[in-house]
Amino acid sequence: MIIDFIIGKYNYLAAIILMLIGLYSVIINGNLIKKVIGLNILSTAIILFYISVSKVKDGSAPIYARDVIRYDNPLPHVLMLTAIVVGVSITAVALAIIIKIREYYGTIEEDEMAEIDINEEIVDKK
Amino acid sequence: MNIDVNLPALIIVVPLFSAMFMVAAGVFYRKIVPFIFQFVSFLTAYFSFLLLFRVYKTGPVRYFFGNWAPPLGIEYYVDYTNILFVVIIASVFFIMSFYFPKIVNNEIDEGKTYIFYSITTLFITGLLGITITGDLFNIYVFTEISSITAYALIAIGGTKKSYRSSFNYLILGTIGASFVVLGIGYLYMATGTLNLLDMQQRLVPMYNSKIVVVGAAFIVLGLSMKMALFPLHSWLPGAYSHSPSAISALMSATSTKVMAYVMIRFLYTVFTPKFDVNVIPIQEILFIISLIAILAGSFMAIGQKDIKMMFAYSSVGQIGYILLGATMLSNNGLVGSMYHFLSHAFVKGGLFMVSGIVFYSLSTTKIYDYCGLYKKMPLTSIAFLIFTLSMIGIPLTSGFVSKWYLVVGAIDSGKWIAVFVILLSSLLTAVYFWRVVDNIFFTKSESNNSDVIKEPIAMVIPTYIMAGVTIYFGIFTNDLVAFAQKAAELLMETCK
Repeated sequence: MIIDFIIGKYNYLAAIILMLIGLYSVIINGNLIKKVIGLNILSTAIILFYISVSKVKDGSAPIYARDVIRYDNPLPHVLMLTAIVVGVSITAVALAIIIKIREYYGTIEEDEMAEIDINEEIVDKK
Repeated sequence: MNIDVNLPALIIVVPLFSAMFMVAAGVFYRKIVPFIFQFVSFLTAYFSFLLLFRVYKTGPVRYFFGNWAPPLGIEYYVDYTNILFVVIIASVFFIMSFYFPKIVNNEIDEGKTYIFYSITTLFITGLLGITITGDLFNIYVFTEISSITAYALIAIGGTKKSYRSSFNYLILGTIGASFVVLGIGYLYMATGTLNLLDMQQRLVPMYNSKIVVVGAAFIVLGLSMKMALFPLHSWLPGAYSHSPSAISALMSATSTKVMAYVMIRFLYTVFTPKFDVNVIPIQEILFIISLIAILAGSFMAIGQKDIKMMFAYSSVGQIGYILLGATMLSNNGLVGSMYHFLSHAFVKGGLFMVSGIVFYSLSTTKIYDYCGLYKKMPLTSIAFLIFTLSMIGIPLTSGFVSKWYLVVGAIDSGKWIAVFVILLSSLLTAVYFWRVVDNIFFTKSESNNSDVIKEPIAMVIPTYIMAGVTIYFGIFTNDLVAFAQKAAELLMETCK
């Protein structure tokens, strides 16, 4: 039973596991670069999910050919092209901001940055 | 080309392409860019008003891109609800575009100003796109356009804190958007369509399917994150208070509220209230959360020392009002929700504009430094007073009308606790705003330096126009309420 379930839906399971890995690493890591990597894993998981949705049983690639009866659904593929572009631009913006943070704080670890902020507030009060 | 037929597309296309044109023009001649910016904002507002009149006369407009009829093609669907939001966003953009040049020259590096204008235009394009489109995946794409530009705009403030809060927003915003797109994926898996109206019909027989329930859960969670609903609001205070003054004014007036609109769209158009109430109690849950958000936002605003921080926390509370009206399942509640969208867009935008003017003249955002401001900057102080009265909900301002309809809606649906919370929160709003008003009008500044400062007229006039709109819609309410009634009826039709 359970093995049938896993074999039948392994692509969805992989997508969900990847998504959880991504979310976990975004939340747990203090390092900003690792957070961005987590976001990338998250968006990859979503791409995998959409591509799984597009598969039709016994379908072939959505390119016209004479002896093919069923085609896969090409729409999710096109949607994911947009999602890939979005993912790339988010990564670009995030990395640009990280460079600036590194310039100003001298570190990209979240707890160290918090420490710097707190110390500055204490200095301000004095 | 016939302008009248292509209006829905023009509202998006004009700012989208002129954003790119601005960069090109800025490379050669930087001084012309602010004028292009103002012209574009005028064109956008003009088109949106034309579309408003057309919708008013002939009913909802459906625009098919490339004449591909839905569900195959992409559709822009403009009905009474979203034309209201489009007009509000476009007119806020238009009014603020005259406020921008002076403050931008003050706060942004000279070499970056033309890029700043271009990104701001793209940001507005994204927001207009979210409201006007009738296609689910388009909503995601436009959300990302507006969010990515928002991250950049917050970071352009150039201080330590602004980079950190921008990064914070980037992480949470991306997770929220990912949840939304995953939820849309689940719905697409169930129905095979991405068109809003088509999906509404195809979903009805599948309400008990697990795929639809999971999709709904992901979408509601993701949108709550993007709209900074109370427990998920942690990105908002930093993002609003550390960004350049012009951007905090524009963002506070538009961005989270547009997400609230998307939530209304999902609750009423994609999932009908039958699903929200009977299958999983989304409406009930959101109702309780929005009550908590209203109170929590007000309480957190009370203790703030920085005025932009105070406005930001008050925004967390105000987004609760908009959602509250939408979750009461009553016509009057929805009217109150839409009216509050307008009222809050102009009032909170105006308040941030006031704080921007003070920052421009005195370079401070501390509430303590507002002592004796009336002596120094009388015009700005009076504008602040008008917005404050509207925030609290004193009669003759638009804040009163929106709260009135929210209360009537709560009574209609028998939810007395909402009445109590709205009144209590008005009281709390009075507490934390009156602290500032007291500083401005009745406390003497310690430094004894109370010379009148020359207020920048180019910035004061747009602020007063915002104040004028607030007062106008507090007195002449009939037209707008009638229009919002129409919109609410159209949304509530799915209830039957």
